[in-house]
Amino acid sequence: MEEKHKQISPFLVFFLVHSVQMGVGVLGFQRTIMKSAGNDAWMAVIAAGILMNAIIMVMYLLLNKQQKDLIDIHKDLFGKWIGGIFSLIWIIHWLMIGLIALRSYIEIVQVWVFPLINIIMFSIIILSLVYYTVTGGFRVVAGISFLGVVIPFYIFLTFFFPIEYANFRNLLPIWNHSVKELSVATKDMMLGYLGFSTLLMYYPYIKNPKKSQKWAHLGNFLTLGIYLFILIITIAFFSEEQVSKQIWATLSMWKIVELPFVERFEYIGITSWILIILPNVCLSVWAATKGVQKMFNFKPQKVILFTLLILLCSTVAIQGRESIEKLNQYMSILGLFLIFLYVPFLTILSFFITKIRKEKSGNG
Amino acid sequence: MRTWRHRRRLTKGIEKENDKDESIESLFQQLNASNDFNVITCQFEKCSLSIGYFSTLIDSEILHRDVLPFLKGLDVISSLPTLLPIEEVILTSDTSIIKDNLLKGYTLIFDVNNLNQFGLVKSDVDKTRQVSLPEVEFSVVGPKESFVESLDTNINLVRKRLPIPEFVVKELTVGKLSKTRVSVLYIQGIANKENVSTVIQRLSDLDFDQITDSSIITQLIQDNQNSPFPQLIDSERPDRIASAIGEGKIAILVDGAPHGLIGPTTIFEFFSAFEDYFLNWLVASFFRLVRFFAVLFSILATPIYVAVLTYHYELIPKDMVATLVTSRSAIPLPPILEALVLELAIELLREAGARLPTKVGQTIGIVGGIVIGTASVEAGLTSNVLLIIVALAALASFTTPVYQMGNTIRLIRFPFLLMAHYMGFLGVAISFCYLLIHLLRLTSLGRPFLEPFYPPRVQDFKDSLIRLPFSLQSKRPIQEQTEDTMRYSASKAKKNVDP
Amino acid sequence: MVKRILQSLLLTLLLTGCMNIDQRILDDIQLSTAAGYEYIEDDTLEITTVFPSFQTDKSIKSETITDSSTLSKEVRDKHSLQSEKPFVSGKVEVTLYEWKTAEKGINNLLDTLQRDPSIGSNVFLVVVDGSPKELLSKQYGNPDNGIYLSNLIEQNIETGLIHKTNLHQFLYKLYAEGIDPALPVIKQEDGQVKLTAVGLFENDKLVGQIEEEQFFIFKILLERKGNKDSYSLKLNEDEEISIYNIGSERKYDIQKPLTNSEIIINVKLKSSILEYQNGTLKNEKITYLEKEIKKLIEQESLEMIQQFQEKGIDPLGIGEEVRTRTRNWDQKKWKELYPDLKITVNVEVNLLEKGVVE
Repeated sequence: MEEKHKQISPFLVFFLVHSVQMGVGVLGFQRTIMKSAGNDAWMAVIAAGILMNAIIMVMYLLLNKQQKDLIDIHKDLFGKWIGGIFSLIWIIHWLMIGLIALRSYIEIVQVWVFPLINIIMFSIIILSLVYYTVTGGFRVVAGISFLGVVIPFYIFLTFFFPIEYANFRNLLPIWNHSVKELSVATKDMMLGYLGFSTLLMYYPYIKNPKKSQKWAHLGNFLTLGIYLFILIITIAFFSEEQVSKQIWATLSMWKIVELPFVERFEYIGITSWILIILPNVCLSVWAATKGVQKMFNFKPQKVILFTLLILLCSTVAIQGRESIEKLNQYMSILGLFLIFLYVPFLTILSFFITKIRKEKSGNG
Repeated sequence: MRTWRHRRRLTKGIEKENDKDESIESLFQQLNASNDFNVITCQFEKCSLSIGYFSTLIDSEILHRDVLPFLKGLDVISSLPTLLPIEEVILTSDTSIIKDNLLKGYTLIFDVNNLNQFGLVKSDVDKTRQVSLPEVEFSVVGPKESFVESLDTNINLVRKRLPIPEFVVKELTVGKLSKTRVSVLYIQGIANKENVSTVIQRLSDLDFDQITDSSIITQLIQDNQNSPFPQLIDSERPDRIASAIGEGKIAILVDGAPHGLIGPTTIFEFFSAFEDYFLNWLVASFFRLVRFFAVLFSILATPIYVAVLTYHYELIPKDMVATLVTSRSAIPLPPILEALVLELAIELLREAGARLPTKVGQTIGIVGGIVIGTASVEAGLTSNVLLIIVALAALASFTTPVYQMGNTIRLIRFPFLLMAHYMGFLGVAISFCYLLIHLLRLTSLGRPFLEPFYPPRVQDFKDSLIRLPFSLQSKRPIQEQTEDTMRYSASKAKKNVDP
Repeated sequence: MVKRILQSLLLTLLLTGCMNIDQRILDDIQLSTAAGYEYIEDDTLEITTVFPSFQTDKSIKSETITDSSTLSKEVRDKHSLQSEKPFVSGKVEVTLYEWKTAEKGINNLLDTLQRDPSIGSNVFLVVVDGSPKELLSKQYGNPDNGIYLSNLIEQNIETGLIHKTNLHQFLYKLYAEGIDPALPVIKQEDGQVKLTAVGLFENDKLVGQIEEEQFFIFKILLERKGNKDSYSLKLNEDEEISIYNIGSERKYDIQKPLTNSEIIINVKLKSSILEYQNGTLKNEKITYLEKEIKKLIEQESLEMIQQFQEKGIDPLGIGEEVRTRTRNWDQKKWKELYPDLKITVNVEVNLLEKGVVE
């Protein structure tokens, strides 16, 4: 457990879990899941959300038992070297979450707002914001997560505008897709929920961590609610074939918003979205740097700079829609593997090992 | 930075000199360098006395009326306190005390033949301003007293409002050259001990030569000295200071400064005028919200104009396009230069108005505002739409009740403006993020500056952006981490803990 | 410290200096507000673009530029060749398609509207009876033609004369299975623009139109819930009535979807009387009128639907209603079934108010 003044209230976990899940995914998740599940895609959103809740439960089982972060658990269970390798995989996973959020956001800016924007300079500017946040310590990271949820919330009110053109009959008939199609959609949807595994790193920074579990679940449910809300409006607003043509269906919906003082809300939406991206990148970078720092005992500032440099290089290296999609795929495979196989495995193993150790010490 | 280092060296030099001269003769020699230092030696019946004083520091009437007539009957210095009708008489043989007190306006009396004991009689002249109307934080209703330059008067003004024994005034002396008296005011049993020791620690650690005002103290002891945001509130109202102390805050009063400091504080407190407490809570809450939106408007209005006109023409509603284009069609400058010219013109007006006497300042405002404004529109240098926006933004920035914060708001508009020019809305959003992170990182005496927004404490919202009725204000803010959390006993109120 | 501040200042200046974003300052760009498309040869497109020219006396002159090419974005470059400022398309309010061009299909022309992120979804698409170039080159009001036309259509949608339509709605219907798009048709007559008809599309091709008199029927059948819009009926030789729709509700009753069983459309129409030409309105008369109006509307609706069925188009979205009622939707099968389906319209008329006099 960390020192008391560095710790945060348990209910902030609500925002930490939610903010790292919300990323660029919200702007264009509809196409992928509606490809397989059509108008029943909303079931996939709910199913994926509930599965994630189960995983959060498993994580809390593990963490409440161990009362330390993932790096220490690895060290404890597998020793320094093997544990270190496992930790490194997680660190890469977290870095990829941050990288995807950052790169996809830059892509959106490139396509929608400034086609000529200098990617290197733009990434440096965003990463300098990340640096400024992460060097402030976990309290500041949690703070930006909180503000990144609260301040841009007005954005979701604008999704009431497309309702004027919505045709909610499109949701019918319910259940006209097979279970197989739905499960494919559920798998695709899970990418939108990834990232909350950073919980494994910031658990020691929570005051009364056991109390925070319900907040983590609620945070996940808020994500579910937002995805569901946007998806239902998308299904009603677009026809199915039309959605399949929209890479960023959410942004396309904003095009219809017209207020007396402003038209074309997508420009405001995209620029406000930076406040939603920022906590996402900050939290994943924080988790990764914290991991590296614990493993190798480097100076925190240097680790952060080094991590940001890696992020910068990879952001610049990835170019074009296709490579971004590919990165997304790799990331979802790795993420799903880690979350659905590795976390339960680790939980069972830790219970097992602690039991054996107890018996041994009892005998000895 | 460099000058400061230089000054530090200078003060150290003086310190060394002080250590050397210990005898009274060398002290006199040092003091005699000033023409206003007088020593008179008189032969009395029982002994021959010397009287030394700074003629500019003492009240000669006190000397003539209360000191000289009584000296005739003096035989030994040690009987001075009983002889004189003045309560503050110090007997000492320490040269440094003598020196310090002489410089404070004491009169030195000693026996020429006995240099082991010296008497110091308080006879300083009291030349301070009368307590007058508050000028910076004027309020229509409520008390109309404000602090003056005398520390004792100021403490008196506060203590009058807190006549309880728990109210503590701790005095320190700060400044190598100025030897300024600085008082820390708090209520024992309410103020958090950690906060009190932080303040006292920081004040006593101060290594600076001249403290001429409380604002220098703010700059020297606040948590982040490179932030444009002040992290301690300064107020000239004794009622505001007293009520802050009652809330569990700690106040700092500085001799010679008509402004006191309050901390720990939050950013929202800078946007609350003390008058808010004298108005109905609905009205007060409305005013606070207006002020808060004024700040947002003042920071964002011009940058948004520049961003929209430079990059995001799509956003302009079709009925507004014509208005904007026609207002700009004759103007050769790009929007950023147009905006900068106007913003700088307003800054010039403000600066000129601040440096000139009140009456001339008003004229400057009118001349500048009307003449320059209309002329520049007619000359085709600025568009009239922008003129309205900039003027409103400037007006909005003047609604901030705390002067220091108003300056900050006006400063941070410029980075926003430049970023809006370089990257449009994206630049505004990035600057806004930068500002948020900066505010998140700031602390006031170690307590979070953005509270109750972050860390979110619903309970403290009762007196931040809005002001709820007093019946709901039974608890002291969590921000201060007070020892006694209840302002008054509301039967149902729960314990005041950080969730 | 000073050094650090200077360094960071310099860095930010450098960074922002080479952001490489091109500026589009509002008064240095040519805002096109409308574009008219016409095929002059088989694959050569003539595009007329309208842009406002802001005069010094604050009036606005509508100006046009016409060029022809095969790709519409190429035309934009050609436009720029003869313009003092670069053309941008972010404020396009209306696009016009010549009748023959629309008959050929407008899908290709829509691609640029969809792909370009700077074009909004609220753009109105209209079919022009006549040459768009001629229509656009006249000045109709103080705003430029793009805004004038956009106001014209917007006003008619808001007062309920025609159905809701814009780029998004067109694309929705174009891509949806079981509904076909419909666009307003405008015509220029004696220097005035007039909304004359609603053009009916099969996919992206114009195939027919419905006249002004049928707008009311079309609207109450198309929209699930509607109001506004007035309708005049001629009951017999000397009995004419004008009613105002306060609230109409349309419900489908489909017993066995995707078979050739009957489809019933139920319409509940609450209305008030705006004008009546034959005597005073007593209660008995009202019931009589309700019956008569019901008969007339049902008859005309049926005629209209039959017309649609003959052409094999479905602008009312009957197919969509069927689709959302069955789990085994098959578009091909529906296309086969549709022309011979028995579709009945049931109208329930309720005359609620009769104005301030009896």
